[in-house]
Amino acid sequence: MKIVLFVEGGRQAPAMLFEQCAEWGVDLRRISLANTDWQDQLQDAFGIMLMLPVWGGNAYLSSVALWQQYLQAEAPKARLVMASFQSDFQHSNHLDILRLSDYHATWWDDCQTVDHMEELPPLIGVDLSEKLKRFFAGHGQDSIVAVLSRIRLVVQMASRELQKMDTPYEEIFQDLVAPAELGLKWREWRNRWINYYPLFEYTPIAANLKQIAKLTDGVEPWMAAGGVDEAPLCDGSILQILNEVRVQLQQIENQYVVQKLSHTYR
Amino acid sequence: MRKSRTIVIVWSWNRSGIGEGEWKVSGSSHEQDLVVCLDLLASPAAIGELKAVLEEHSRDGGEVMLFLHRHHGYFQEHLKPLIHLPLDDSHGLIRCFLFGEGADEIYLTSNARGLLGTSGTFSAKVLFEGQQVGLSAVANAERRELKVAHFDHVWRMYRQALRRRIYELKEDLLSCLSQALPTSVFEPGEVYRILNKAENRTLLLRLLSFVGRIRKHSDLAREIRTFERNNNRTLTFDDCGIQLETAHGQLAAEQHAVLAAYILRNLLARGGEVSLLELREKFEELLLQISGLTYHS
Repeated sequence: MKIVLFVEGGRQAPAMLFEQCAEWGVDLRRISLANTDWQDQLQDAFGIMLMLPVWGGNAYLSSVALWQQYLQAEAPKARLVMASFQSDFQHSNHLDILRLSDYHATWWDDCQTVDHMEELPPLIGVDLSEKLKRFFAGHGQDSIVAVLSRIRLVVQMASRELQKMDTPYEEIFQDLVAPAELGLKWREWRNRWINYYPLFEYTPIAANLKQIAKLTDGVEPWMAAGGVDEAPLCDGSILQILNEVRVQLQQIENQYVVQKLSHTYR
Repeated sequence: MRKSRTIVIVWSWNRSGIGEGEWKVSGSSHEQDLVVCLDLLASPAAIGELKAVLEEHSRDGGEVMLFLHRHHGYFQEHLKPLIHLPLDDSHGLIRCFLFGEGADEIYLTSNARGLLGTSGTFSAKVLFEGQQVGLSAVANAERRELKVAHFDHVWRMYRQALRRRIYELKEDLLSCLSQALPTSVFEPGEVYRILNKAENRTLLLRLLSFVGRIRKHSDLAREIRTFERNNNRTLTFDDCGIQLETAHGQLAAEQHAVLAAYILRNLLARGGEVSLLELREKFEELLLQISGLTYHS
Protein backbone atom coordinates (compact mmCIF):
# COMPACT_ATOMS: atom_id res chain seq x y z
CA MET A 1 0.00 0.00 0.00
CA LYS A 2 1.13 3.51 -0.77
CA ILE A 3 0.75 5.78 2.26
CA VAL A 4 -0.57 9.24 1.42
CA LEU A 5 -0.99 11.81 4.18
CA PHE A 6 -4.22 13.76 3.80
CA VAL A 7 -4.82 17.39 4.75
CA GLU A 8 -8.59 17.83 4.72
CA GLY A 9 -8.22 21.60 5.10
CA GLY A 10 -11.23 22.58 7.18
CA ARG A 11 -13.63 20.63 4.96
CA GLN A 12 -15.19 17.21 4.92
CA ALA A 13 -13.87 14.95 2.20
CA PRO A 14 -16.34 12.39 0.84
CA ALA A 15 -15.96 8.87 2.24
CA MET A 16 -15.78 7.70 -1.35
CA LEU A 17 -12.37 9.37 -1.73
CA PHE A 18 -10.95 7.10 0.98
CA GLU A 19 -12.70 4.03 -0.43
CA GLN A 20 -11.52 4.74 -3.95
CA CYS A 21 -7.96 5.31 -2.76
CA ALA A 22 -8.03 1.98 -0.90
CA GLU A 23 -9.13 0.29 -4.14
CA TRP A 24 -6.15 1.87 -5.88
CA GLY A 25 -3.85 0.55 -3.17
CA VAL A 26 -3.48 3.91 -1.47
CA ASP A 27 -3.80 4.27 2.29
CA LEU A 28 -5.11 7.81 2.70
CA ARG A 29 -4.38 8.99 6.26
CA ARG A 30 -5.82 12.15 7.77
CA ILE A 31 -3.18 14.13 9.63
CA SER A 32 -3.34 16.87 12.23
CA LEU A 33 -0.97 19.78 11.66
CA ALA A 34 -1.28 21.22 15.15
CA ASN A 35 1.79 19.22 16.19
CA THR A 36 4.77 17.94 14.21
CA ASP A 37 4.08 14.16 14.39
CA TRP A 38 3.08 14.14 10.73
CA GLN A 39 6.62 15.08 9.76
CA ASP A 40 7.84 11.68 10.98
CA GLN A 41 5.08 9.92 9.04
CA LEU A 42 6.11 11.77 5.91
CA GLN A 43 9.41 9.89 5.73
CA ASP A 44 7.58 6.64 4.82
CA ALA A 45 4.85 8.25 2.76
CA PHE A 46 4.31 8.26 -0.99
CA GLY A 47 3.15 11.84 -0.71
CA ILE A 48 0.70 14.37 0.67
CA MET A 49 -2.79 15.00 -0.63
CA LEU A 50 -4.43 18.39 -0.08
CA MET A 51 -8.15 18.94 -0.39
CA LEU A 52 -8.39 22.31 -2.12
CA PRO A 53 -9.14 25.03 -1.63
CA VAL A 54 -8.71 25.05 2.13
CA TRP A 55 -11.39 26.70 4.28
CA GLY A 56 -10.12 29.02 7.02
CA GLY A 57 -10.57 32.56 8.31
CA ASN A 58 -13.96 32.72 6.55
CA ALA A 59 -12.44 32.35 3.09
CA TYR A 60 -11.22 29.69 0.70
CA LEU A 61 -7.44 29.60 0.71
CA SER A 62 -4.73 28.15 -1.50
CA SER A 63 -2.00 26.48 0.52
CA VAL A 64 -0.34 24.64 -2.37
CA ALA A 65 2.68 26.90 -2.88
CA LEU A 66 3.62 26.67 0.80
CA TRP A 67 3.34 22.87 0.74
CA GLN A 68 5.37 22.72 -2.44
CA GLN A 69 8.13 24.78 -0.80
CA TYR A 70 8.06 22.64 2.30
CA LEU A 71 8.27 19.37 0.38
CA GLN A 72 10.97 20.67 -1.94
CA ALA A 73 13.15 21.21 1.10
CA GLU A 74 12.16 18.28 3.27
CA ALA A 75 10.91 15.50 0.96
CA PRO A 76 11.61 16.31 -2.70
CA LYS A 77 10.77 12.78 -3.83
CA ALA A 78 7.29 12.95 -2.31
CA ARG A 79 4.20 13.61 -4.44
CA LEU A 80 2.00 16.60 -3.79
CA VAL A 81 -1.49 15.51 -4.85
CA MET A 82 -4.29 18.04 -5.11
CA ALA A 83 -7.94 16.99 -4.86
CA SER A 84 -10.65 19.50 -5.66
CA PHE A 85 -13.97 20.22 -7.36
CA GLN A 86 -12.30 22.52 -9.88
CA SER A 87 -12.90 21.04 -13.35
CA ASP A 88 -10.40 23.27 -15.19
CA PHE A 89 -7.47 22.41 -12.93
CA GLN A 90 -5.06 21.07 -15.52
CA HIS A 91 -2.23 19.35 -13.69
CA SER A 92 -0.85 15.80 -13.63
CA ASN A 93 -1.19 15.65 -9.84
CA HIS A 94 -4.78 16.89 -9.71
CA LEU A 95 -7.65 14.61 -8.79
CA ASP A 96 -11.15 15.77 -9.74
CA ILE A 97 -13.31 14.56 -6.84
CA LEU A 98 -16.44 14.42 -8.99
CA ARG A 99 -14.77 12.14 -11.54
CA LEU A 100 -12.98 9.63 -9.32
CA SER A 101 -14.17 6.72 -11.47
CA ASP A 102 -12.25 8.16 -14.45
CA TYR A 103 -8.90 7.49 -12.73
CA HIS A 104 -7.02 4.19 -12.46
CA ALA A 105 -4.48 2.79 -10.03
CA THR A 106 -1.76 3.55 -12.57
CA TRP A 107 -2.55 7.29 -12.30
CA TRP A 108 -0.56 7.35 -9.07
CA ASP A 109 2.55 6.04 -10.81
CA ASP A 110 2.38 9.01 -13.18
CA CYS A 111 2.12 11.53 -10.35
CA GLN A 112 5.12 13.83 -10.43
CA THR A 113 7.50 14.07 -7.51
CA VAL A 114 7.86 17.55 -6.04
CA ASP A 115 11.36 18.04 -7.43
CA HIS A 116 10.02 17.45 -10.96
CA MET A 117 6.57 18.90 -10.67
CA GLU A 118 5.22 20.97 -13.55
CA GLU A 119 4.15 24.53 -12.88
CA LEU A 120 0.86 24.92 -11.04
CA PRO A 121 -2.08 26.51 -12.86
CA PRO A 122 -3.81 29.53 -11.27
CA LEU A 123 -5.69 28.36 -8.22
CA ILE A 124 -8.80 29.85 -6.70
CA GLY A 125 -8.36 30.96 -3.12
CA VAL A 126 -6.30 33.44 -1.18
CA ASP A 127 -2.66 32.66 -2.02
CA LEU A 128 -1.11 31.91 1.35
CA SER A 129 2.46 32.22 0.13
CA GLU A 130 1.71 35.86 -0.76
CA LYS A 131 0.05 36.33 2.61
CA LEU A 132 3.12 34.93 4.32
CA LYS A 133 5.40 37.30 2.42
CA ARG A 134 3.31 40.21 3.63
CA PHE A 135 3.33 38.76 7.11
CA PHE A 136 7.08 39.30 7.11
CA ALA A 137 7.64 42.18 4.76
CA GLY A 138 4.40 43.99 4.20
CA HIS A 139 4.29 47.72 3.84
CA GLY A 140 4.02 49.10 7.36
CA GLN A 141 0.43 48.11 7.99
CA ASP A 142 1.02 44.45 7.35
CA SER A 143 4.44 43.53 8.67
CA ILE A 144 4.03 41.72 11.92
CA VAL A 145 7.75 41.28 12.41
CA ALA A 146 8.34 45.03 12.37
CA VAL A 147 5.89 45.54 15.22
CA LEU A 148 7.34 42.73 17.26
CA SER A 149 10.90 43.97 16.70
CA ARG A 150 9.98 47.39 18.06
CA ILE A 151 8.55 45.82 21.19
CA ARG A 152 11.51 43.50 21.65
CA LEU A 153 13.98 46.37 21.29
CA VAL A 154 12.39 48.24 24.20
CA VAL A 155 12.30 45.11 26.36
CA GLN A 156 15.91 44.30 25.53
CA MET A 157 17.09 47.80 26.43
CA ALA A 158 15.09 47.82 29.65
CA SER A 159 16.42 44.37 30.62
CA ARG A 160 19.99 45.48 30.01
CA GLU A 161 19.53 48.60 32.11
CA LEU A 162 17.97 46.60 34.91
CA GLN A 163 20.31 43.62 34.98
CA LYS A 164 23.66 45.08 33.96
CA MET A 165 23.50 48.73 34.94
CA ASP A 166 21.53 48.21 38.17
CA THR A 167 19.29 51.15 37.32
CA PRO A 168 16.18 51.22 39.54
CA TYR A 169 13.12 49.97 37.65
CA GLU A 170 11.08 53.07 38.50
CA GLU A 171 13.61 55.10 36.55
CA ILE A 172 13.71 52.64 33.64
CA PHE A 173 9.96 52.54 33.54
CA GLN A 174 9.64 56.33 33.48
CA ASP A 175 12.39 56.95 30.94
CA LEU A 176 12.06 53.98 28.64
CA VAL A 177 9.12 51.62 29.14
CA ALA A 178 6.26 54.07 29.73
CA PRO A 179 7.15 56.37 26.76
CA ALA A 180 7.36 53.29 24.52
CA GLU A 181 3.65 52.63 25.17
CA LEU A 182 4.10 48.87 25.15
CA GLY A 183 0.40 48.32 25.79
CA LEU A 184 -0.46 50.15 22.57
CA LYS A 185 2.28 48.43 20.60
CA TRP A 186 1.16 45.07 21.88
CA ARG A 187 -2.42 45.76 20.84
CA GLU A 188 -1.08 46.62 17.40
CA TRP A 189 0.72 43.27 17.27
CA ARG A 190 -2.42 41.44 18.40
CA ASN A 191 -4.48 43.22 15.74
CA ARG A 192 -2.10 42.12 13.01
CA TRP A 193 -1.83 38.64 14.41
CA ILE A 194 -5.64 38.29 14.16
CA ASN A 195 -5.38 38.90 10.42
CA TYR A 196 -2.90 36.11 9.86
CA TYR A 197 -2.97 33.39 12.45
CA PRO A 198 -6.25 31.65 11.44
CA LEU A 199 -5.22 31.49 7.79
CA PHE A 200 -2.31 29.11 8.27
CA GLU A 201 -4.02 26.33 10.21
CA TYR A 202 -3.70 23.85 7.33
CA THR A 203 -0.20 24.66 6.21
CA PRO A 204 3.18 23.17 7.19
CA ILE A 205 3.81 26.14 9.51
CA ALA A 206 0.71 25.53 11.62
CA ALA A 207 2.66 24.00 14.52
CA ASN A 208 5.16 26.90 14.52
CA LEU A 209 2.37 29.46 14.65
CA LYS A 210 0.60 27.56 17.39
CA GLN A 211 3.83 27.64 19.38
CA ILE A 212 4.13 31.41 18.81
CA ALA A 213 0.52 31.91 19.92
CA LYS A 214 1.21 29.94 23.09
CA LEU A 215 4.37 31.91 23.80
CA THR A 216 2.78 35.30 23.26
CA ASP A 217 -0.16 34.40 25.50
CA GLY A 218 2.43 34.19 28.26
CA VAL A 219 3.48 37.84 27.92
CA GLU A 220 0.01 39.20 27.28
CA PRO A 221 -0.80 40.40 30.85
CA TRP A 222 2.58 42.12 31.25
CA MET A 223 2.31 43.87 27.90
CA ALA A 224 -1.33 44.84 28.36
CA ALA A 225 -0.39 46.48 31.66
CA GLY A 226 2.24 48.51 29.82
CA GLY A 227 5.21 46.75 31.46
CA VAL A 228 4.55 48.07 34.98
CA ASP A 229 5.61 44.87 36.73
CA GLU A 230 9.36 44.68 37.28
CA ALA A 231 9.65 40.96 38.14
CA PRO A 232 9.25 39.34 34.67
CA LEU A 233 11.73 41.80 33.24
CA CYS A 234 14.13 41.23 36.09
CA ASP A 235 14.11 37.44 35.79
CA GLY A 236 14.47 37.73 32.02
CA SER A 237 11.31 35.76 31.23
CA ILE A 238 9.76 38.41 28.99
CA LEU A 239 12.87 38.79 26.86
CA GLN A 240 13.31 35.03 26.71
CA ILE A 241 9.78 34.58 25.35
CA LEU A 242 10.25 37.33 22.78
CA ASN A 243 13.54 35.72 21.72
CA GLU A 244 11.83 32.36 21.29
CA VAL A 245 9.12 34.00 19.18
CA ARG A 246 11.83 35.62 17.10
CA VAL A 247 13.55 32.28 16.53
CA GLN A 248 10.27 30.69 15.43
CA LEU A 249 9.58 33.54 13.02
CA GLN A 250 13.11 33.41 11.62
CA GLN A 251 12.73 29.68 10.96
CA ILE A 252 9.51 30.27 9.03
CA GLU A 253 10.93 33.15 7.05
CA ASN A 254 14.14 31.31 6.15
CA GLN A 255 12.22 28.34 4.83
CA TYR A 256 9.25 29.91 3.09
CA VAL A 257 9.94 33.47 2.14
CA VAL A 258 12.31 33.10 -0.78
CA GLN A 259 13.42 36.70 -0.97
CA LYS A 260 14.36 37.89 2.46
CA LEU A 261 12.50 41.14 2.61
CA SER A 262 11.50 41.47 6.18
CA HIS A 263 12.12 44.11 8.72
CA THR A 264 15.54 43.38 10.19
CA TYR A 265 15.48 41.17 13.24
CA ARG A 266 17.07 43.01 16.08
CA MET B 1 -5.53 60.72 -12.90
CA ARG B 2 -7.10 57.76 -11.16
CA LYS B 3 -10.86 57.69 -11.04
CA SER B 4 -12.44 58.49 -7.72
CA ARG B 5 -13.82 55.80 -5.43
CA THR B 6 -16.59 56.73 -3.06
CA ILE B 7 -18.18 54.60 -0.36
CA VAL B 8 -21.54 55.97 0.78
CA ILE B 9 -22.76 54.44 4.04
CA VAL B 10 -26.31 54.97 5.27
CA TRP B 11 -26.12 53.96 8.92
CA SER B 12 -26.78 55.10 12.49
CA TRP B 13 -24.24 57.92 12.55
CA ASN B 14 -26.33 60.48 14.41
CA ARG B 15 -27.88 58.78 17.41
CA SER B 16 -24.75 57.95 19.37
CA GLY B 17 -22.05 58.08 16.75
CA ILE B 18 -19.75 60.56 15.07
CA GLY B 19 -22.46 62.18 12.98
CA GLU B 20 -22.92 62.55 9.24
CA GLY B 21 -20.25 63.97 6.95
CA GLU B 22 -17.37 63.08 4.70
CA TRP B 23 -14.12 61.29 5.53
CA LYS B 24 -11.05 61.18 3.34
CA VAL B 25 -8.60 58.33 3.02
CA SER B 26 -5.06 58.88 4.29
CA GLY B 27 -2.15 58.89 1.83
CA SER B 28 -1.39 61.07 -1.18
CA SER B 29 -2.41 58.43 -3.72
CA HIS B 30 -5.88 58.31 -2.23
CA GLU B 31 -6.93 61.93 -2.62
CA GLN B 32 -9.78 60.85 -4.87
CA ASP B 33 -11.22 58.39 -2.35
CA LEU B 34 -13.99 59.32 0.00
CA VAL B 35 -16.38 57.87 2.55
CA VAL B 36 -19.72 59.66 2.84
CA CYS B 37 -21.66 59.03 6.05
CA LEU B 38 -25.43 59.53 5.85
CA ASP B 39 -28.17 58.73 8.33
CA LEU B 40 -31.38 58.54 6.28
CA LEU B 41 -34.38 56.39 7.11
CA ALA B 42 -35.89 54.74 4.03
CA SER B 43 -38.47 56.98 2.35
CA PRO B 44 -39.14 58.33 -1.15
CA ALA B 45 -37.33 61.53 -0.13
CA ALA B 46 -34.33 59.55 1.07
CA ILE B 47 -34.19 57.62 -2.20
CA GLY B 48 -34.28 60.95 -4.06
CA GLU B 49 -31.43 62.25 -1.92
CA LEU B 50 -29.41 59.09 -2.48
CA LYS B 51 -29.91 59.33 -6.25
CA ALA B 52 -28.42 62.81 -6.15
CA VAL B 53 -25.46 61.64 -4.06
CA LEU B 54 -24.81 58.75 -6.44
CA GLU B 55 -25.05 61.01 -9.46
CA GLU B 56 -22.63 63.51 -7.97
CA HIS B 57 -19.96 61.01 -6.94
CA SER B 58 -20.14 58.87 -10.08
CA ARG B 59 -19.27 61.84 -12.33
CA ASP B 60 -16.21 61.57 -14.59
CA GLY B 61 -16.12 57.80 -14.30
CA GLY B 62 -16.04 57.79 -10.50
CA GLU B 63 -17.05 54.48 -8.96
CA VAL B 64 -19.48 54.43 -6.06
CA MET B 65 -20.48 51.80 -3.55
CA LEU B 66 -23.63 52.48 -1.59
CA PHE B 67 -24.28 50.60 1.63
CA LEU B 68 -27.81 50.71 3.02
CA HIS B 69 -28.49 49.65 6.58
CA ARG B 70 -31.40 47.23 6.75
CA HIS B 71 -32.55 48.60 10.10
CA HIS B 72 -33.07 51.97 8.44
CA GLY B 73 -35.89 50.29 6.53
CA TYR B 74 -34.09 49.44 3.31
CA PHE B 75 -34.71 46.22 1.43
CA GLN B 76 -34.17 44.76 -2.02
CA GLU B 77 -36.80 46.87 -3.78
CA HIS B 78 -34.87 50.01 -2.83
CA LEU B 79 -31.81 48.82 -4.74
CA LYS B 80 -33.45 48.73 -8.18
CA PRO B 81 -34.03 52.46 -8.77
CA LEU B 82 -30.58 53.24 -7.40
CA ILE B 83 -28.71 50.69 -9.51
CA HIS B 84 -30.71 51.63 -12.62
CA LEU B 85 -30.18 55.38 -12.38
CA PRO B 86 -30.51 56.84 -15.91
CA LEU B 87 -27.01 58.30 -16.14
CA ASP B 88 -24.92 58.88 -19.24
CA ASP B 89 -21.72 56.97 -20.01
CA SER B 90 -19.49 59.57 -18.40
CA HIS B 91 -20.67 58.29 -15.03
CA GLY B 92 -18.84 55.42 -13.39
CA LEU B 93 -20.14 52.16 -12.00
CA ILE B 94 -22.55 52.19 -9.06
CA ARG B 95 -22.92 49.19 -6.77
CA CYS B 96 -25.45 48.97 -3.97
CA PHE B 97 -25.47 46.63 -0.99
CA LEU B 98 -27.73 45.99 1.95
CA PHE B 99 -26.01 45.35 5.24
CA GLY B 100 -26.87 45.04 8.88
CA GLU B 101 -26.84 43.30 12.21
CA GLY B 102 -23.08 43.26 12.50
CA ALA B 103 -22.59 40.28 10.22
CA ASP B 104 -21.18 41.81 7.07
CA GLU B 105 -17.61 42.32 5.99
CA ILE B 106 -17.96 46.07 6.34
CA TYR B 107 -18.02 45.70 10.14
CA LEU B 108 -14.82 45.66 12.14
CA THR B 109 -16.43 43.02 14.33
CA SER B 110 -16.63 40.67 11.32
CA ASN B 111 -13.43 41.66 9.64
CA ALA B 112 -10.40 43.30 11.24
CA ARG B 113 -9.99 45.39 8.06
CA GLY B 114 -13.59 46.57 8.02
CA LEU B 115 -14.78 50.14 8.42
CA LEU B 116 -17.75 50.23 10.75
CA GLY B 117 -17.40 49.90 14.48
CA THR B 118 -20.11 50.01 17.07
CA SER B 119 -22.76 52.72 17.49
CA GLY B 120 -22.03 54.95 14.53
CA THR B 121 -18.23 54.93 14.76
CA PHE B 122 -15.24 53.63 12.86
CA SER B 123 -13.84 51.70 15.85
CA ALA B 124 -14.78 48.63 17.84
CA LYS B 125 -13.62 46.25 20.51
CA VAL B 126 -13.58 42.59 19.53
CA LEU B 127 -12.80 39.39 21.37
CA PHE B 128 -10.00 37.30 19.92
CA GLU B 129 -9.22 34.03 21.68
CA GLY B 130 -10.59 35.42 24.92
CA GLN B 131 -8.70 38.70 24.68
CA GLN B 132 -10.34 42.03 24.02
CA VAL B 133 -8.71 43.84 21.11
CA GLY B 134 -9.40 47.41 19.99
CA LEU B 135 -9.79 47.93 16.26
CA SER B 136 -10.12 51.21 14.42
CA ALA B 137 -10.35 52.31 10.80
CA VAL B 138 -9.46 55.91 11.70
CA ALA B 139 -6.05 57.19 10.60
CA ASN B 140 -6.45 60.74 11.87
CA ALA B 141 -9.65 61.83 13.60
CA GLU B 142 -8.85 65.56 13.50
CA ARG B 143 -8.31 65.53 9.76
CA ARG B 144 -11.20 63.10 9.32
CA GLU B 145 -9.04 60.54 7.57
CA LEU B 146 -9.52 56.78 7.42
CA LYS B 147 -6.83 54.12 7.02
CA VAL B 148 -6.04 53.16 3.43
CA ALA B 149 -5.83 49.44 4.23
CA HIS B 150 -9.38 49.44 5.61
CA PHE B 151 -10.85 51.42 2.73
CA ASP B 152 -9.06 49.26 0.14
CA HIS B 153 -10.04 46.05 1.83
CA VAL B 154 -13.73 46.91 2.02
CA TRP B 155 -13.66 48.17 -1.56
CA ARG B 156 -12.06 44.96 -2.81
CA MET B 157 -14.25 42.71 -0.71
CA TYR B 158 -17.46 44.22 -2.02
CA ARG B 159 -16.27 44.66 -5.60
CA GLN B 160 -15.81 40.92 -5.82
CA ALA B 161 -18.46 40.07 -3.24
CA LEU B 162 -20.88 38.37 -5.58
CA ARG B 163 -18.29 36.31 -7.40
CA ARG B 164 -16.87 35.18 -4.11
CA ARG B 165 -20.26 34.38 -2.58
CA ILE B 166 -21.34 32.38 -5.64
CA TYR B 167 -18.04 30.52 -5.70
CA GLU B 168 -18.36 29.67 -2.01
CA LEU B 169 -21.93 28.48 -2.54
CA LYS B 170 -20.70 26.20 -5.33
CA GLU B 171 -17.89 24.75 -3.23
CA ASP B 172 -20.08 24.24 -0.17
CA LEU B 173 -22.89 22.69 -2.19
CA LEU B 174 -20.56 20.26 -3.99
CA SER B 175 -18.87 19.41 -0.68
CA CYS B 176 -22.26 18.57 0.77
CA LEU B 177 -23.62 16.55 -2.16
CA SER B 178 -20.35 14.75 -2.87
CA GLN B 179 -20.72 12.97 0.47
CA ALA B 180 -23.15 10.73 -1.44
CA LEU B 181 -20.53 9.65 -4.00
CA PRO B 182 -20.36 7.33 -5.91
CA THR B 183 -23.90 8.60 -6.50
CA SER B 184 -23.41 11.61 -8.73
CA VAL B 185 -26.85 11.68 -10.28
CA PHE B 186 -29.70 12.13 -7.82
CA GLU B 187 -33.33 11.09 -8.32
CA PRO B 188 -35.94 13.89 -8.37
CA GLY B 189 -36.49 15.17 -4.82
CA GLU B 190 -33.43 13.37 -3.43
CA VAL B 191 -31.28 16.50 -3.19
CA TYR B 192 -34.06 18.37 -1.40
CA ARG B 193 -34.21 15.58 1.18
CA ILE B 194 -30.47 16.01 1.78
CA LEU B 195 -30.73 19.81 1.97
CA ASN B 196 -33.64 19.51 4.35
CA LYS B 197 -31.49 17.85 7.00
CA ALA B 198 -30.81 20.04 10.05
CA GLU B 199 -27.04 20.10 9.44
CA ASN B 200 -27.58 21.53 5.95
CA ARG B 201 -29.99 24.27 7.01
CA THR B 202 -27.63 27.16 6.20
CA LEU B 203 -26.93 25.77 2.77
CA LEU B 204 -30.64 25.43 2.06
CA LEU B 205 -31.23 29.05 3.11
CA ARG B 206 -28.34 30.27 0.93
CA LEU B 207 -29.81 28.46 -2.06
CA LEU B 208 -33.23 29.96 -1.37
CA SER B 209 -31.63 33.39 -1.20
CA PHE B 210 -29.69 32.75 -4.41
CA VAL B 211 -32.90 31.98 -6.31
CA GLY B 212 -34.67 34.97 -4.73
CA ARG B 213 -37.12 32.98 -2.61
CA ILE B 214 -36.55 34.66 0.73
CA ARG B 215 -38.98 37.49 1.36
CA LYS B 216 -38.06 40.46 3.51
CA HIS B 217 -39.14 40.30 7.14
CA SER B 218 -40.03 36.63 6.73
CA ASP B 219 -39.01 33.95 9.23
CA LEU B 220 -36.52 32.65 6.67
CA ALA B 221 -34.99 36.13 6.31
CA ARG B 222 -34.58 36.36 10.08
CA GLU B 223 -33.13 32.87 10.20
CA ILE B 224 -30.46 33.49 7.59
CA ARG B 225 -29.52 36.77 9.26
CA THR B 226 -28.99 34.85 12.48
CA PHE B 227 -26.66 32.45 10.68
CA GLU B 228 -24.81 35.45 9.23
CA ARG B 229 -24.42 37.01 12.66
CA ASN B 230 -23.22 33.78 14.22
CA ASN B 231 -20.73 33.06 11.47
CA ASN B 232 -19.54 36.61 10.73
CA ARG B 233 -20.17 35.92 7.08
CA THR B 234 -22.51 37.37 4.46
CA LEU B 235 -24.59 34.53 3.07
CA THR B 236 -27.48 36.31 1.33
CA PHE B 237 -27.74 37.23 -2.34
CA ASP B 238 -29.84 40.37 -2.29
CA ASP B 239 -31.11 40.98 -5.79
CA CYS B 240 -28.35 38.89 -7.31
CA GLY B 241 -29.62 39.10 -10.91
CA ILE B 242 -29.80 42.89 -10.94
CA GLN B 243 -26.43 43.27 -9.26
CA LEU B 244 -24.86 40.95 -11.81
CA GLU B 245 -26.45 42.73 -14.73
CA THR B 246 -25.27 46.12 -13.52
CA ALA B 247 -21.75 45.13 -12.68
CA HIS B 248 -21.04 42.32 -15.17
CA GLY B 249 -23.54 42.62 -18.02
CA GLN B 250 -26.54 40.89 -19.50
CA LEU B 251 -24.81 37.53 -20.04
CA ALA B 252 -24.02 37.22 -16.35
CA ALA B 253 -27.64 37.95 -15.45
CA GLU B 254 -28.83 35.36 -17.99
CA GLN B 255 -26.44 32.72 -16.69
CA HIS B 256 -27.64 33.44 -13.18
CA ALA B 257 -31.22 32.98 -14.33
CA VAL B 258 -30.33 29.61 -15.92
CA LEU B 259 -28.64 28.35 -12.76
CA ALA B 260 -31.34 29.75 -10.46
CA ALA B 261 -34.04 28.01 -12.52
CA TYR B 262 -32.11 24.70 -12.39
CA ILE B 263 -31.70 24.97 -8.61
CA LEU B 264 -35.31 26.00 -8.06
CA ARG B 265 -36.69 23.21 -10.22
CA ASN B 266 -34.37 20.33 -9.40
CA LEU B 267 -32.69 20.99 -6.05
CA LEU B 268 -35.41 22.82 -4.17
CA ALA B 269 -38.30 20.86 -5.70
CA ARG B 270 -39.00 17.46 -7.26
CA GLY B 271 -38.52 18.70 -10.81
CA GLY B 272 -35.95 16.40 -12.34
CA GLU B 273 -32.80 14.49 -11.53
CA VAL B 274 -29.69 16.37 -10.46
CA SER B 275 -26.32 15.63 -11.97
CA LEU B 276 -23.36 16.92 -9.96
CA LEU B 277 -21.35 17.42 -13.12
CA GLU B 278 -24.15 19.44 -14.72
CA LEU B 279 -24.62 21.48 -11.56
CA ARG B 280 -20.92 22.27 -11.42
CA GLU B 281 -20.89 23.21 -15.09
CA LYS B 282 -23.74 25.69 -14.61
CA PHE B 283 -21.96 27.30 -11.68
CA GLU B 284 -18.73 27.52 -13.66
CA GLU B 285 -20.51 29.05 -16.65
CA LEU B 286 -21.92 31.74 -14.39
CA LEU B 287 -18.56 32.38 -12.74
CA LEU B 288 -16.99 32.73 -16.19
CA GLN B 289 -19.27 35.71 -16.80
CA ILE B 290 -18.21 37.47 -13.60
CA SER B 291 -14.90 39.15 -14.22
CA GLY B 292 -12.22 39.67 -11.62
CA LEU B 293 -10.53 37.59 -8.99
CA THR B 294 -12.52 35.54 -6.50
CA TYR B 295 -10.11 36.50 -3.73
CA HIS B 296 -7.30 38.95 -3.30
CA SER B 297 -4.23 37.62 -1.57
